[in-house]
Amino acid sequence: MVRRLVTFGRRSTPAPGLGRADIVAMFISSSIIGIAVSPIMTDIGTSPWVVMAAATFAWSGTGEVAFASVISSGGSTPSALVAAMLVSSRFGLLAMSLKDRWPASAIERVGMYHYASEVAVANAIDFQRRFGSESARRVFWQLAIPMAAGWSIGSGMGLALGNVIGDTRQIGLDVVFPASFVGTVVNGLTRRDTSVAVAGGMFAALGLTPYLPAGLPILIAALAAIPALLVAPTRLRGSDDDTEAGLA
Amino acid sequence: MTIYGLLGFVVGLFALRMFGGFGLSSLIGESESWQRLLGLIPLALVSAVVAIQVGTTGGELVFDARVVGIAVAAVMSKRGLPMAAVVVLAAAATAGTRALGWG
Repeated sequence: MVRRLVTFGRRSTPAPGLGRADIVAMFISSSIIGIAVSPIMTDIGTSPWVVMAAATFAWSGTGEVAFASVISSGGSTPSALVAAMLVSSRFGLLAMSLKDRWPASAIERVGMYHYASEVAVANAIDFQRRFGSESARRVFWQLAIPMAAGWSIGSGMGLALGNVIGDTRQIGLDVVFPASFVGTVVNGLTRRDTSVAVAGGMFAALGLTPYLPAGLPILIAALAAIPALLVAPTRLRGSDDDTEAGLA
Repeated sequence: MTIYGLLGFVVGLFALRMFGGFGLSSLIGESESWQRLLGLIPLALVSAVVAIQVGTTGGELVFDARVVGIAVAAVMSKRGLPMAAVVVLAAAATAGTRALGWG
């Protein structure tokens, strides 16, 4: 069940939603990521209530990390905001990717776009392809709500933990956030077109980072989707299972 | 983050998302290519975020203990472990590598 959630695995049950174990796992993952991000914010002198408000209402871990890294390298608040918006611009693209996945009122659409995270969008798209629109909608909210709750709760726990541990890098908290995306990336490497998107995104981001302001490389890396579109969506040789790869 | 930073952060992100959902999406056609592109863009973005979070520090390329953690995460994901277990093992591998004196 959980495998299906994170790796877009084979269809094991006809149920058009996620199981409780999947949802709890995502709640816990989101909490752990919140724990990891809070100390990064307090390191730049952010007061606890601001950390909580940023986590709860802005709902962008990468945005917080980008903001903090500009401030800690001596940047101003406006330049930190620009970096945060650039890094978070993918949320605009994720919101865009939800277009017409299921019929929704204007109010639901505001909620969908606000809570459009990689995991919720990817799974909604996956379930839409396999089970239809109503299933996509159910899975999206099954993930979005626990993840948002876990994020706020985890952020609060991170504030407490940061006070106790000091340097949270010692316990490896700085890899928690990227590690949470690894399942999606690994799964993307099973098909030709999605592999191009993964490899292109990574190389563009790494290659451009030394030369461009924080945030821009990520935005440019999104363009890797264009060459990927030109590659046939066929399975790579050596891929050993029949799972449907990618977020397509 | 100051109070002004917080306000800019929250309002800016909300505007960004609504622009993507209500504004950008209306520019998009119905063809199969557009639908595929909408799936490939998030994947390229996710990959870029992972690469930057793991391979860079303050705008420079850095190769350190985070790479060990991510390698562990990749293997565990491939084996089908749930995400919560994957992130904990990745953190443990990175912490262990640092405890041994690298990165």
